[in-house]
Amino acid sequence: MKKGIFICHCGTNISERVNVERLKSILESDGYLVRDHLFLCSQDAKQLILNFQDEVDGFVIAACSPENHETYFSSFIRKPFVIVNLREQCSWPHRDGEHATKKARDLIRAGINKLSYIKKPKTVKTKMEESVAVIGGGIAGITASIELAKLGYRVHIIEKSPSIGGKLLKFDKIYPLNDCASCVISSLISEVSAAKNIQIHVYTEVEEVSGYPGNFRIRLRKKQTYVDWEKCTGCGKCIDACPDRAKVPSEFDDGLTFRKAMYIYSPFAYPKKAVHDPEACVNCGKKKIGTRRLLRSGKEYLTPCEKACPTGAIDRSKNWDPEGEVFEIRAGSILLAMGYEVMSKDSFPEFPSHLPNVVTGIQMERILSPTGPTGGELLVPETLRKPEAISFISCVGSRDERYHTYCSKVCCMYMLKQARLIKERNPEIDVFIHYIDIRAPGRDLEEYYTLARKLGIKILRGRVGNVEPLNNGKLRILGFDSDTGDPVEYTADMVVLATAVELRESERDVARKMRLDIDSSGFVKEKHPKLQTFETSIDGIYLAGCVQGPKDVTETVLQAKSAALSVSSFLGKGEREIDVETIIDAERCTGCGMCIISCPFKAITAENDIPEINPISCRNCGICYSVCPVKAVDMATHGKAIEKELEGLKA
Amino acid sequence: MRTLNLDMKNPGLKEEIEKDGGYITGCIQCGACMSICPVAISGFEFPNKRLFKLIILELEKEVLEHRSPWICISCQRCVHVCPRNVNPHSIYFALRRYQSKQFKHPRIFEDIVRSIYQYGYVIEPENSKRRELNLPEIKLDEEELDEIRMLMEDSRLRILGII
Repeated sequence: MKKGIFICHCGTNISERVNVERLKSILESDGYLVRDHLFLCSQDAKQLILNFQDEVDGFVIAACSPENHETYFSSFIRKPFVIVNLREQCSWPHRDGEHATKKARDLIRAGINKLSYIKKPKTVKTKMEESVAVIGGGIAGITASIELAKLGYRVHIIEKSPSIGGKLLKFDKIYPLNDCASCVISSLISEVSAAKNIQIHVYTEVEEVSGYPGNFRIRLRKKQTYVDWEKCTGCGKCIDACPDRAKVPSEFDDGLTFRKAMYIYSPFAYPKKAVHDPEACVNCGKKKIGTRRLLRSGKEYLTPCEKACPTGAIDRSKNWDPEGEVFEIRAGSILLAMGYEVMSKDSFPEFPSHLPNVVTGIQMERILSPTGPTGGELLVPETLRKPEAISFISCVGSRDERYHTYCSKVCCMYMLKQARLIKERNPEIDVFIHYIDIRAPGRDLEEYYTLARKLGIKILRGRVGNVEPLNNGKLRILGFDSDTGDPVEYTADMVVLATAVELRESERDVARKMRLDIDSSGFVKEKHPKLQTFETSIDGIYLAGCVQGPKDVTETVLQAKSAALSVSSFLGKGEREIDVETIIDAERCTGCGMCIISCPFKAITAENDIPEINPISCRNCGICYSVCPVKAVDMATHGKAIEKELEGLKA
Repeated sequence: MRTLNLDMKNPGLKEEIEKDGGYITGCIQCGACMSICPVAISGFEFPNKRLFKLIILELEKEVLEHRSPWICISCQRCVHVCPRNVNPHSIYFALRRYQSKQFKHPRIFEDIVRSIYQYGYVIEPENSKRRELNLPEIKLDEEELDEIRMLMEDSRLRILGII
């Protein structure tokens, strides 16, 4: 019996550069049994491979990257085999056929050399936790949690702010139906709050993630609120008692209004509980946080907020603990649904962004919202008068080599939506939209755009180069209209900047804590751009919503539900099979400990000086193999076998 | 090239022209109408899409000064190619009427109309020269000419004082 080679043409992907006939005759003269096929991944080739393996001891499959079909081939091939990549690493990158054929020959010879040294990895089984940690309590996290809870999993929602609901609560209407945004999300919030197997951790951040797929351990930190949420009824009396001078820009109104040091996050807050912000607190009661003051009568002195609380839920004599309450949860799978942030307007000095009448898209949402600073009435922020003309500027920070090269995807549609809301409510207001390209693909979106045009919204193709503040408080817009080919100028009362959608550094840090990849746009990278759009490079960790890239509500919900299904198919079997690649030869080992300190996954532990590999934590990276001074570590397919493969290449 | 001042607008302009010429806000500035317009193809300045954008922006002064509606030869090809159901042809004719109402039409059209009123022809037939060259005389008979005059007197041309 001898070794064999099966060459795939991959249609013409391989054979248009690599001369398969010549390759065959060279390898046959080397003494190997050689076959070829137009598509090795086809069903009729399967039978041929099955017949072929009876004729040989082991064989090389010369085809595409093992990433594509290794799992498929291993499902039915019983003899040892090695996949040599003739497509991505040979025919595609080379122009010269002569050269490619020679390289193919060398790669196959190296593969043959490797063949004798590969071993079958051992398989171990591990039990998985039947719970999921969903990081982010916006529409993505909430939708996925509801689906997962229905499937019977225990779900932890981890939300950074004091309330779940996310950005959607800030909006008035959402396209394409112009239906009420808060109604959409608040019905989901009630569903989440009613579900018995969903636990909500708000005002909580991720500290550390450890463990492994199926058994993650997540250390969380709940920030100190100074309010006993068991007792707090959300009545708001402490907010009335808190003095006006203890104010900071409101997170919910995106800086358009101020909130006090005592606050409830939003009118829709769930849980509806008060939070005390010690950084904004002015110590109006002359009682520093973390101290007690007794009155002459011996009674304890209470600060205005403490006094106002009817249930005695506020206790500012507690020490300020920046650590907060640290606790750990276990989860079989993690779903990242952290959402986006829009770029701050301050990054763009070409528009006088310091002026209150220049606002971002999200701030405009607040102005239009009935829960916003003007109660939904469209007023100019500075003068609180009705505007005569409003200008929208698109692609601020997106599609711009100086900031972000990507398209933020939702801006065209939300500008059209805001413009329509303005025009439908106030037909006399002149609305201008400056765009580079209007991007409105998707169900009903083009029709939405056409309707905006019919309403008389003036849509101009071309960028705005400058916005000049005028003495009367108005703004002079200097733009260009490429339809007429002329520069244009006009006066507007307000400018709305559609600033780019981006991921915050703190959210990227959470992803880095799990060793996930960040792409060149700064979002968390998926495993495959087409086939695995919400899986990550780590099994058991999934993505939903804008953490992966800009998305609208429709797409986010679609992805969240799909990700929930993936979580379920990952955890569904209850246990997981793991291939153990790395083996330590205890007899050779001298107990030097090099492998233990160099393992980035803390997978190697030593009891009685003999290192042992935890197969579940091991990621088969091979660092221990390369650092072992006595070569006591080997790997089933990536250790000596690779050295032999390299030797084969040199020969 | 000059800067268009979008503040100098007539908010009723678009509705006024749409009343007569049909829906115009649907125009997405694709330029299909210009690609097949025989006048544009033969090199005349005939920027239909620019004109439509000026109407959408309600810039009355620029619209009134625009001469291109008068070059249209009514071939109707633009009507067939528009993907947005805009009828460029009817808009040009709406614009002709809009300009005339405000005496912003090219002056030569007044001479043409007067010649039709007087002789029944676009240009005055020079019958004395034709006689010298032994050509037959061109002349409408009085009854036909009266009919033309009656139609014209019934139209806005009389109100505008052109005839």
